[in-house]
Amino acid sequence: MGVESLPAGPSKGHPLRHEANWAWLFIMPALAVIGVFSLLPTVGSFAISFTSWDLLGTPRWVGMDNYQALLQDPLFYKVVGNTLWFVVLYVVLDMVIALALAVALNQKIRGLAIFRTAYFLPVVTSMVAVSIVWEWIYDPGFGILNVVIGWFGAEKVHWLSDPRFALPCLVVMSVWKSLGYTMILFLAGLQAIPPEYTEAAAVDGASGVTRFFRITMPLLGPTLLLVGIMATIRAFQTFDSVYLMTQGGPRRATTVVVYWLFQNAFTYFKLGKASALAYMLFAVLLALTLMQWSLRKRWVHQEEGT
Amino acid sequence: MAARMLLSPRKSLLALSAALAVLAGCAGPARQGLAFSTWGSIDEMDILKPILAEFTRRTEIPVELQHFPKDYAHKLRMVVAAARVPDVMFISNEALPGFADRGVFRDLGPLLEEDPDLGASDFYPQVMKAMSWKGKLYGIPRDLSNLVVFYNKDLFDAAGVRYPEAGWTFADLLRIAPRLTRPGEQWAIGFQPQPLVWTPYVWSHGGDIMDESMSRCTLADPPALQGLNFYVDLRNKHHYAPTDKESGNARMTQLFAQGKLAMFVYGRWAVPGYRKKLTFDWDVAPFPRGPAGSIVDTDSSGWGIAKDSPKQEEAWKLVKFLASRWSIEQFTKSGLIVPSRPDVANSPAFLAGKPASSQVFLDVIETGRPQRVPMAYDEITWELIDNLAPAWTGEEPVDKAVKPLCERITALLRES
Repeated sequence: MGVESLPAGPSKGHPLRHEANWAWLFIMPALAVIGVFSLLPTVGSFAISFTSWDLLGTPRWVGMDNYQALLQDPLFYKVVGNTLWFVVLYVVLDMVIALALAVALNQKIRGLAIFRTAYFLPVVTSMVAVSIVWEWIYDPGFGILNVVIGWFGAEKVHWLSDPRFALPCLVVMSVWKSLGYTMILFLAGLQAIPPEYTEAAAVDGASGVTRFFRITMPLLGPTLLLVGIMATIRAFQTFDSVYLMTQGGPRRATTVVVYWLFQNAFTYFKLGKASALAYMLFAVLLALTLMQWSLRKRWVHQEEGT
Repeated sequence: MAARMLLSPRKSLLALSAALAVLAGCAGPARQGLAFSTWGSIDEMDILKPILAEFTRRTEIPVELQHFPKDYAHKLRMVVAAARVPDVMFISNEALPGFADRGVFRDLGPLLEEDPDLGASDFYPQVMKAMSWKGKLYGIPRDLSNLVVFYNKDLFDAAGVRYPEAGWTFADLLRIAPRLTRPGEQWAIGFQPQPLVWTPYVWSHGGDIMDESMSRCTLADPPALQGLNFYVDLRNKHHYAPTDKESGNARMTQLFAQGKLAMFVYGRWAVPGYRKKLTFDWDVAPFPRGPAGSIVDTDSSGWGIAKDSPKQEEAWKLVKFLASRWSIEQFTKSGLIVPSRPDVANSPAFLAGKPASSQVFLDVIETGRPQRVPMAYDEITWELIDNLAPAWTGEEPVDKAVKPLCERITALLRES
């Protein structure tokens, strides 16, 4: 920066300042929205997590009590267990099935566009509509699922009201809904792999399976990492399907962290406890993401070369 | 370059701020007339809207109706937290304490005492008690919500069993139930996991969920356990009530409508639908007597006034109009409510039409009482539903399920 510009005060005419002002102006709408609806509540709820507050009275400072109470609550561990079970089931199913589909739809087959669209349709469908349809599928009396297993002589299952099945049922529905999205990411990843690599391996005599695990998978590393992180976060944040279909039941079998958080905040009006829970979830997600990130060296072979 | 032709950055910022201020201003326009919040089905709104129109016609006070059909108490709390308290609020006795304790509602006792048109004696004392919190009256009651036994006369006739009548006992229930049960097809009595429906079994055995001071769970005490065990045995030992598998997803009210239940415990709100729908002959009887009597709830909903409303006088006018004999009659005629006013209750507005024994709803008021509503009511209700589920299915004995549950409830009671 030139010395001459220093005494000029507000430096009205300085081109850099001017540009900075314009820049601020352009990002202000986004900044205002993020600030008011994201940043402010984030900071605010951190403060609330150290208080006891029911929305109507004045918040009372209780220090670490909310965090301590959560750690002593047996229900907390049940909810954490439910959530982890959901996450593991969801992430594994979502990634494995989506990858298989992506590989299948990465070939030149007839009706490719139709298949790709069909798998993507649930992604753009509202969760409310999806839940209503799946509630019918799972209905113990008229649901198609019970009809189908009935053909094989199986007894009727109360899918959503049996504590053993309710959570896996929600996982299956969630996987079905997000499959198309994950598949698209994998497809993009697959198409970014130069065909020369696999062709070269084929010339060297590598079988299809070997080519997939030795060439395609390693080169898909960055996509796998991204998809893994996104699926994990999505699974941890599951709420709408629980709210719509099981309300956390039967017997808390589907009470996952975010649903319990919602209940504490807006059913029991324990805003402090709910905020503490939110920050514990945040800490877990942060730790998991950092872990996945640090593992990337092992997964992501592309970065080694560059 | 093109940007230069527009406003300078600083002026643009000013314009943007101004726009934001206008937007913010939109959230709080001056209110026209009285804001009045309520829940209720579309059918109920069809009754309410003409009443409000009539009020506006007579007083020239416009009413802005805020209808929250779902999760009413929760939405009301948000509105209150956002300092947008409606002037007049419909409220149930289950939701009242949370708001009353924080000073949201005005004490209506003195107003009612001085009023020339309306007095405490216009209402059943039990509902006045339900609408009170710590000795102060926070709502003028609209209805009285209690439970009776709905029964299918055709099924009783087919089995050659006499209809239940006042004074009948748990022993009578056990005596007639086998004759009204056909395994897998028809059951003598309903089974519902909601606390509201099974508390009469506990109360009528002399037990309760919590003690009178609402500081200790009493569900693990012998009388309460007797009540719970009696209830669970109806289903798991005697098979007089359907299991979850047998009822499928159907609620008891549907099973009853399908003619598969001889009796079930339910409230007045089922009447409008049953008048239209039921193809068999039906009636109501009081809940059977146990060792402590026949005790069901007398809950209530009514209209309260926001303490901080600037329109106290108009708000009271509206509440008085809503609670007037004429308005309560409108609500009563459809069969939806047991009216809070004896003058309406003892008139054809309530007694005419099915069920023939509507008088039963009034007779049981005498021995009824409101539920105990601590601050943690919602959370305790959840705990009851969750933790008793294994007992209801017979996977766990009642005593075993109740012990940890009761400890948890006591902890929740002490917390607040």
